[in-house]
Amino acid sequence: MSERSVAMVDGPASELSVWLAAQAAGSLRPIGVDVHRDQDSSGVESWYFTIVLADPAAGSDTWDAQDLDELQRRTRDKALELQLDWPWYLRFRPETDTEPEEPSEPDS
Amino acid sequence: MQRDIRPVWLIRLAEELGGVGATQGQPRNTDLRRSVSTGYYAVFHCLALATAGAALPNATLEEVFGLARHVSHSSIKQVAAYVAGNQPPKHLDSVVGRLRSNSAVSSVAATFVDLQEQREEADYNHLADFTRPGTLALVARAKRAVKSTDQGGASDDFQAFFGLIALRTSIGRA
Repeated sequence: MSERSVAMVDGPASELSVWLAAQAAGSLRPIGVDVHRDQDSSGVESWYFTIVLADPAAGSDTWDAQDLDELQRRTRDKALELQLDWPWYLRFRPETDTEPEEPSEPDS
Repeated sequence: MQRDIRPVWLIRLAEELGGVGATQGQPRNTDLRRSVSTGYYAVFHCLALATAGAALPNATLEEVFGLARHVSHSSIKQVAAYVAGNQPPKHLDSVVGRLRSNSAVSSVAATFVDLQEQREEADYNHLADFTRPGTLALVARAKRAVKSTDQGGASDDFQAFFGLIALRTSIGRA
């Protein structure tokens, strides 16, 4: 994704997606936000917001955890303000999707 | 040889599995899944021990370990969810509001909720999608949560958080 994009949904989830896409928390600048509805591990219908971030800086394994926590806190406060139904979850993924290696079947 | 379960050792393992510091290649998908699960258990054991320690302030370590076995995943999840955004029972509004205004407690609670959900996916969902940066972001947040709990656990807000978890915990016949 070359510019900020937002998945289309209705109501508070849509508002939160648009809000998330415009956020900046420390070094974090969302490139895109995808939202979908699914059952969580308890079987409860939930909102899942996947935030696409630029790949971590060269030499870094991931993004700054303090910035991630800050974005999570701000999102909670905004979700409460918008009265978004609980549960909802944030996910973070890099712009470049590299399939992890699973090179061969182990010896039997 | 008896060795207790140390959250910081679980964090170290989660980092190794997730490929912290690896200069090339990607960890195996299986390793990323185990990394998420191990990071979750680091935070779970950290909070279970802190809750048991808060409930039995003058207990021996052995007594704390014994009580910690009764602190359930669901008890922590319920209380963490209140702080992370779920509506608490009406009469807990005030204390939950106070905990939400504490950034350290808020981060620990949100990290537990996120890790618990992704741990379920890591362990049971064949179609779950894991990336190395995404996995290590979870592990980094788990590491911060363990450190915050260890350093700030004696504060009034953390003690209130542990108190709510203890109230959700029932001692069965386990």
